[in-house]
Amino acid sequence: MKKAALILLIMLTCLFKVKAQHIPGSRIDSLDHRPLLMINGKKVDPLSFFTLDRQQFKNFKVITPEQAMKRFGYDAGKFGAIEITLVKEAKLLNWTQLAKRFYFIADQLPVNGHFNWGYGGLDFNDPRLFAAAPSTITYFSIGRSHEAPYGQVVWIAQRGVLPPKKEIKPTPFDKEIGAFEQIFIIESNKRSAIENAKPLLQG
Amino acid sequence: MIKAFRLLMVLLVIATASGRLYAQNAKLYLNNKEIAFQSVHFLDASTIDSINFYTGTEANAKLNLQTTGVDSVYVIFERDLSDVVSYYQLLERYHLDNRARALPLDLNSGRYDYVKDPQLMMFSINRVTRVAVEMAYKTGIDYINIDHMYNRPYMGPYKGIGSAKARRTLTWLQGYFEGYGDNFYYKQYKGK
Repeated sequence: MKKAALILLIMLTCLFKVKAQHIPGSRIDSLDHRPLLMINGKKVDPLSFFTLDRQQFKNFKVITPEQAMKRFGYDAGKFGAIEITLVKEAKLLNWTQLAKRFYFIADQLPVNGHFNWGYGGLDFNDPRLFAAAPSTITYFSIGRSHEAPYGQVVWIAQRGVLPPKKEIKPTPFDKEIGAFEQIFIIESNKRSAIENAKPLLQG
Repeated sequence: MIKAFRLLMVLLVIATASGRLYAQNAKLYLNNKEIAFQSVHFLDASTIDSINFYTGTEANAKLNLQTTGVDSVYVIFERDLSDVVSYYQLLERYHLDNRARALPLDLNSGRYDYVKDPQLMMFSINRVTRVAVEMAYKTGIDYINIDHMYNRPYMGPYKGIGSAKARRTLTWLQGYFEGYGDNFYYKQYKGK
């Protein structure tokens, strides 16, 4: 009897998790473990990290969830935070500048969006907080969403080819960077797996 | 046996090559306005009343179009243009500023690098799925790329929507202008 109740409970939990991932246009769900990202003291969308040149990192500081929650509040800091300080020469384009670079009018753009960094892709928390190093982004588009409410969505992509491992120069923060990157890669892979499984589930 | 096989291969090559040469000296019109032939990928068969073929002289005499000396004229007749927008209107709807009008337009055609006169393009807004500005990897040149739903209006969700003849002819025109040698509907209707 106890076993049956336990199995029922697990099944119900799984059902709830799957349902949460199907909320249209929503990224905040059980797969989301993205830490808060601060670049030069400014809060940016965490996906901005992929556009940065690691050779320009002056400092890379990992803040634990406990410290981050104290500093930025529960919701913003519950998965920790990363503080990156860039060298003086480093340039970053904010959302308005990036849209202008690609001939779009920033004020009129939709607030839902997707970013593809070449070997993975995820939806933005908020594209208006996205910052990118110039010349890394090569594709900026507005497309029709395939999910309800079927509005317009921003799609941004950067060069998809990773440089050969020999050409990647080591930095003092490689270990931390690798761990931070994995959070996004795992989420991206899981979301792709769910997306690919949909037609199978539908039969 | 080998000779017969060779002859068959030669005939196949000729058949494919003849398809590629078919669209020379042809023009496309939407009612009385000349449009870029790449528009055939973006027009919705369900709102098209008819698509007629004329020789240049015929089109000039019957419809008063400036087509003297043109071999083939295709005229798409469409009374309800509420869904149709011009190139500049499309850019505006997708929030691009006026500087974008000067960018080259690439439609992923295997035959043409860029659309010669993008301002002559016409779009059924429902057929457009994405408008992008891309930077070419090799040259670093910015260009506009527009995606559309499915390549064959005769197939997919369009089957059963609108006039079957318009759907078939649109698909045929895609093959005709783009020089598809392997487009089934192009091959089937190219003699028309």
